[in-house]
Amino acid sequence: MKGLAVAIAWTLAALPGAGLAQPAAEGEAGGPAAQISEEQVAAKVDAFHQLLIQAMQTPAYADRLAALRPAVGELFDIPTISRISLGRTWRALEESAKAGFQDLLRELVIATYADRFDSYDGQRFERLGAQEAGRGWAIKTQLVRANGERVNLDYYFNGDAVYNLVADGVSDLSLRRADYNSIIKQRGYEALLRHIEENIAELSGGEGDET
Amino acid sequence: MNRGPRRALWRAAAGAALILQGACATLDGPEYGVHDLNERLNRQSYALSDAVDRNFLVPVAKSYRRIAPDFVETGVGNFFANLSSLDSGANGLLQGKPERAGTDALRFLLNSTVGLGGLIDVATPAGLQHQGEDFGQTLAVWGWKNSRFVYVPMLGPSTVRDLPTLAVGSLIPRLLFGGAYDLRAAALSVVSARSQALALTDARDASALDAYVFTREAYMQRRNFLIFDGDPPVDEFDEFFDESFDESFEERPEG
Repeated sequence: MKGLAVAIAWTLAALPGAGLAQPAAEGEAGGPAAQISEEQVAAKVDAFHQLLIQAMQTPAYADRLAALRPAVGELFDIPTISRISLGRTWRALEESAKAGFQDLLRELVIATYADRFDSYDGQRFERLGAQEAGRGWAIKTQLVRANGERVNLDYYFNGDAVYNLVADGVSDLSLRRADYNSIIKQRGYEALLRHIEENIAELSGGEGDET
Repeated sequence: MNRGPRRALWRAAAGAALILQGACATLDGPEYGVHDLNERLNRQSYALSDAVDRNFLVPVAKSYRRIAPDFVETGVGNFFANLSSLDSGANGLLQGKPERAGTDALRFLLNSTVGLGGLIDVATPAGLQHQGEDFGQTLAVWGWKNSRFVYVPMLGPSTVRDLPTLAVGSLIPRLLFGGAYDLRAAALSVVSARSQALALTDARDASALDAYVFTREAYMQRRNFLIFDGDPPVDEFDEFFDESFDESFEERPEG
């Protein structure tokens, strides 16, 4: 059972955040937690979880994709996730290339959620509480399966948008940053883009595993 | 000690020695993530293990999953998981966490009796979650905070600090059942564990661009999470917002 929990963690680690806010360019809009109330960000997480439960009960991939698209685009701080994921490479990109990467990453996140949250078996989400972190609130939640198994899902906010999702200790942002930069280092930035495009195509080509 | 555990210990020690002697062969230039001192050797170990896994273990595990009725599959998994509660409980005590040790002890007692020898997990629905302690975490609590990553051939990701965990974990059933825990039982344990991990590796294959890096990072983060009993500091990601961090490594292992 632990393996399954970690699998979910890994799966979720493929998900760049979800964010309800409109982050400023370069993702530098995040303010201290004091500027955004805990209730505001917690409500965003709750709303997203409600949407995921609905998505799990939606049979068609295309329908899940359509339902998740606006919420993912709004909740997750895609500019910040993009910048941190690419590290030094980000600073060398032209503005148009940065925008292109953000679009690609957003599509990957949406496709991954639509692929993975594809079947409902009594799962529910519980919100455990919140802590102030450096860039905003960290909202701690759990996905509870019907058999009682729990997976920790911690949403890290940069101001009012999520820049990192940590599933049972596995950070999507850290994983993405290491994974992407390994590909860039070995095969170059263009190869990374091709990999992500292929990944999106594969996700849209079939139904995913259990959540 | 019978010969089986002794051989397991020797294998673990030999593997550790091999890895530690494997030269500090890293790829050129900085990278992000764990400071992987033995990356070249680890990657070779991963490639070998992955080939064996895909060509042998995965087909066997999938056949097991296809052939074995669900209740058998679940029961076998529960049985071996129940044994690990002993290891977890003992390490909870060694770490000075009597509540966690008590939870594992209750789990073991409940599952071993009401749960028919561990075949049924009645403890988890009753709110007694497996605490997941092990000897590597005990060493971390005792002060060995950071350790270099190693990919042990056929055994998977680990750190130098966590290598004894592999041996200690295999000792528990042998100490409990003696000769009754033979090669067939050990093989069943491996196949059961691999079948349970299929969802994990499927997720890896669906998400990872560099499967080795993905495995390494996920393992190291998961270990950190376990060492902090599921509640690591929330400020650990702040450094991502410091652009100078882009030029540095995340972790410098102590040994």
